[in-house]
Amino acid sequence: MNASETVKERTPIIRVDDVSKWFGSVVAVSEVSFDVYPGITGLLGPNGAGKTTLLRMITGLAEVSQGEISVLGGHPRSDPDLYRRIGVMVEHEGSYDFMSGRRFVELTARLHEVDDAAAAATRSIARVNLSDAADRPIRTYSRGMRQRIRLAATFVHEPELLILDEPLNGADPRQRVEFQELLLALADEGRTILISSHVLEEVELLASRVLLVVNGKLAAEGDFHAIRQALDDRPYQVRISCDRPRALAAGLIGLDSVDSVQLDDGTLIVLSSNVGALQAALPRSAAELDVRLTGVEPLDDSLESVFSYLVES
Amino acid sequence: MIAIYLLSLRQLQGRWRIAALLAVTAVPLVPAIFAVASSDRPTALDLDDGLINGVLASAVLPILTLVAATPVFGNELEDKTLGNLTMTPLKRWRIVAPKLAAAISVAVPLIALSAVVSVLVAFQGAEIDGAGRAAAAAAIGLAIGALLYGTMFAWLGLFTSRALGIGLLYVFIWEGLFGTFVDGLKYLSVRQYSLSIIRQLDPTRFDGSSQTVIGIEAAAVGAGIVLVAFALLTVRRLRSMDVP
Repeated sequence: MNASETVKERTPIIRVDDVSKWFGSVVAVSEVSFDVYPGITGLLGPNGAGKTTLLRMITGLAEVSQGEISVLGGHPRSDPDLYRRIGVMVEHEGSYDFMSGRRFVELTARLHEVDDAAAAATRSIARVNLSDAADRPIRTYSRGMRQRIRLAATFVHEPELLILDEPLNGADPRQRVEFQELLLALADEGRTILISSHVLEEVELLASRVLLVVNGKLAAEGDFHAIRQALDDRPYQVRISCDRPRALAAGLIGLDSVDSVQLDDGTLIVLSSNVGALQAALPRSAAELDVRLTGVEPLDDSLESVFSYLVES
Repeated sequence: MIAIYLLSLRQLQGRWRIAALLAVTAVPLVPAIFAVASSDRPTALDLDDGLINGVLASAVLPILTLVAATPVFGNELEDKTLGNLTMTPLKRWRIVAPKLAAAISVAVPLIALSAVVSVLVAFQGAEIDGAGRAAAAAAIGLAIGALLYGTMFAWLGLFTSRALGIGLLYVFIWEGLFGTFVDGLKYLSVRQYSLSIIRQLDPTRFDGSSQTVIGIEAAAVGAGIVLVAFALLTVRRLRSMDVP
C-alpha cells in the first residue's frame, strides 16, 4: 500500500468539494476541491490567489457561493458548536488593543466556555513565550508579539484543528523558528493544522502536504515532490558534473528526453521534459562516450521554484 | 454572555461618542429653560407638543439611540474583531443579546435622565402640577422607545457600514415626516409608541390633544413586533453574513 492510498482511506478533517466564491462579477475562488488530513498542510499561493477567501469559507466567516465544505463532519457556520474543536487565526483579524494580552486570551477561553479560563490562558501564553509581557496592553506589542498572543488565543481551548492564515507575518527570524517549533509540537500532539503562507520556505519546513492555489484555482496538491511530478509539462533543470562536459553535451543533445543543454562553468545544465527518461539515458550515454559522471543534481526541486513556475504559467 | 456585554460597553467608550451622547442628552434643557424664561408661561399642552413630542421623542430619543446602538456591531465590523465572537461555540442569540443589552444600557439611562431633568425644569418652572409624574411618564415612555430603537439600530449597524447616515435619514424622513403626517404610518412609528405610552401613564398632562396619537393597545402590539422582529433579524443576519 503506497502513501497516497493510505491517505485516501483516512477520513478527511476538512473536505472542500467543488467550491467557488465570487463577489459580484469577480471570481475569487473557482471550483476548488481538496481534502485535509491530520498533520500540517500548507496552503500556498501568492497574495490575491484566494487563500484567505478559501480559509474564510472553511472557518465559516464567509458563505460559499457554490460547492460544499465539511469541517470535522459538519460546518461551523451552521453548527457553531464545532468551534470548540477548531482554533482559527485569520490574517487581518483585529485584536482588542485596550486589553492586556492575558485578558484577550482569557476572554477567548471564556467565549469557548473553557472551564478554567484563567489557567488555560496562562498555559497558552507560556507556550508562545509571552508570559513576561502578558499583562501589558496589546497596543504596546510589536507585530510579532501580536501574532504570538493571537496564536495563544487560537489554541487556548485545545482545539483538534488549527486553521492559521499567514501566522508568521510580522515575526522576526527568531520568532519564526519558535513559531515553527511550536506548530510542529502542536501537530505532534495529534492536531490537524492548515496553515497558509506565501513564504514558501516556512511551509516547506513545516508541512507534510501542500495545496497550491493560483488565481483562485487549486494548481496542485499533495506531497511537494508529488506535485513536482504532476507538473509534467514543466522542464526540469538538472546540473551534471563530469570530466568531459563538452563531449557529454554533444551526446545528450540528440536524446529525446533532453530539450536543451547549456555549458555553465564546467558543468552542464540540462533542461528535460521527461526526467525519468533522462535518468535512464544519462548513465548509458556517459558510458558510451566514456565520460565519468561526478554529480547529478536537480536545480529546481525547491518549493519556491515550483511556486514561481505555477504563478508564471 | 457577561463577557460580551462588558466588552461591548468598553467598545462604546470612545471619547467622541461619549461627548456626542452627553451633548444630545443635554439638548432638551435648552427649550425647557427657554420655555420657562419666556414671558408667556407654557401650558402642559405646549410642553407636550414642543418639548416631549418636538424635541425628546422626535430628535433626542432616536439620535441618542442611534449613536449608542449602531456601533455595538458596527465598530467590530470596522476593526475586524467580530470574528473573535462569531468563531466561538456560542449560539448567535447569545452574542446578540448582550450587545443589545449594552446599547440599551447606555441609551436608556441617558434618555431617561434627559427626560426627567428637562420635564422637571419645564413643568416646575411653568408651575404646572404633577411635574414628577410627568417626568416619570416621559422617562418610561422614552426608555421603551430607546429599547425599540436600540434593537433596530443595532441591526442596522450589522447590516450596513453606513448605519449612522441611513439611521438619520430614517429618523427624519420616516419618523419625522411619514410617521407624523400619514395617519396609517403612525402605527409603524416607534415615536408614536413612546408618545402613546407617555400619555397612558400621565393622561392628565399629556392628553394627546396636540395631535393624534395611536392607542396604547396598538402601541403595545407594535412595540412587541418591532422588538422581536429586529432581534430576530439581527440573529439571522449574524448567522448568514460574511464576517470581515
